[in-house]
Amino acid sequence: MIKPFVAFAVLLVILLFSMSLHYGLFPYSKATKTMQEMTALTHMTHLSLSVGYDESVYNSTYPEMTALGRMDFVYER
Amino acid sequence: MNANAFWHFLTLQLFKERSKHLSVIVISAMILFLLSSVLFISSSIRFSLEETLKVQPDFVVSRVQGGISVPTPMIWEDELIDIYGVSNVIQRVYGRYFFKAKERSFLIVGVDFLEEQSHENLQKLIAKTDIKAFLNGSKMLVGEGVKTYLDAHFYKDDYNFLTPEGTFEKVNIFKTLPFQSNLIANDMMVMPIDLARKILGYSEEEVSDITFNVPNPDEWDMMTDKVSALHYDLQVVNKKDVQKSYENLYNYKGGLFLILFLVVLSTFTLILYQRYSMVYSSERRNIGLLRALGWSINDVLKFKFTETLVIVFASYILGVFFAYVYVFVLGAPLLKEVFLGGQNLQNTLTFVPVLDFSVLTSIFLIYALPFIAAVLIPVWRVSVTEPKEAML
Repeated sequence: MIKPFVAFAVLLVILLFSMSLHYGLFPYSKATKTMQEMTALTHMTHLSLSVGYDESVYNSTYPEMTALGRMDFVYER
Repeated sequence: MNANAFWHFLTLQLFKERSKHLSVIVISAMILFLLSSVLFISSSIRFSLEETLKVQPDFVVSRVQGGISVPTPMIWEDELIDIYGVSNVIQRVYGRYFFKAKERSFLIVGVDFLEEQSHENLQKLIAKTDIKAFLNGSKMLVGEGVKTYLDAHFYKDDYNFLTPEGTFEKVNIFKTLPFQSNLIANDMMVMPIDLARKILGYSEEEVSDITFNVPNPDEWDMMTDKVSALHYDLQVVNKKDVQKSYENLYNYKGGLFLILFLVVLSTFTLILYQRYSMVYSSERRNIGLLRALGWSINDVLKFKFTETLVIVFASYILGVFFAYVYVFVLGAPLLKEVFLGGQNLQNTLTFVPVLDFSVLTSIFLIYALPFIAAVLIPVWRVSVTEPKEAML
């Protein structure tokens, strides 16, 4: 194998290694615990969606359709 | 052929034609990057929601009239407590508050801080919180997105809510909620339940909905029927329904991108196939030369297969690595808006790294097999012809 190829292969291995390192060292318990504590306090798991506010739950133009621009109609019942 | 000589020749060939291979690697890595990013975001959100769903109450009961949720009478709480097998009945008061001037909205959540359990939960969430100081006067905890937004609009310490009665209610900002909870609490304002009632216009006998637990999962279906029979305008939703709707949604969104990926991949494969099967291409001449030098068809196929495999692995590793960094280190700017929206408050969250190895393997196979086939089939067709003919 020629040297530039070996260097390229080593680079790919380093990328994989750094990814596994980040994956292995991520504080999972802290992240999930905070979310669980938040849910325990509010008793809610609504996703914090950044969607436009719609004052009516109906689509004012086509009342038989769900209001447009709302994502929570699929995210929650 | 000697293995060392084979690899030496292969790597020399790869670097000699690096500009050609580089373009293929870049395009492949970009396609894989996009698909992996979408699947990473989707699986991370799903994982976080599944974890939080574990502590969510099992059932939610609300009043629905004409298909619209209306305030639920608090007296229903007593009716639920009386049912055998039901535990931990809790009332919830929440709703969106619209900041008309800028067309932004916040989610107000009322919590009964007089309950001991709420005290403990608050202490766990925000260490060293002085509960007495929090309950003294009108105070609230706000999500990071709300805090950033209010700061930018000069509401650094408090905010004046306009109640449905037309009066103003000044509420002080006590603390910001931890950023790890941004996925569910970015636009949240947590305040005492009576204050939330006043701002959202609920009477003292009304709540948004009521939650309860049924410790025995075998009783869930029976309990749904039993509770539904209490009132005609009562709606019961259990945790399994919520879980299903989340799964369906993310499978749907991930699936949509998978279809786009397949379309792009088939186009790319077609281009590769055409390039390798072009009559006067340099590839054809190269193969002819190798055959003329005494290489067997097997040797040529082995050589091209290994060369393609190196390209496939390199582009796959690069695509997945950049997707990983983009999603789990940089927080997926722009692409996260496909899943979380971007019209309201800015959400700067950290996605929990989740690698679904079965999905990663599927992506690799879906990508690698057509790629290798698109190269090897034309190569085989050239290598079985006479070297003299191939070099023409």
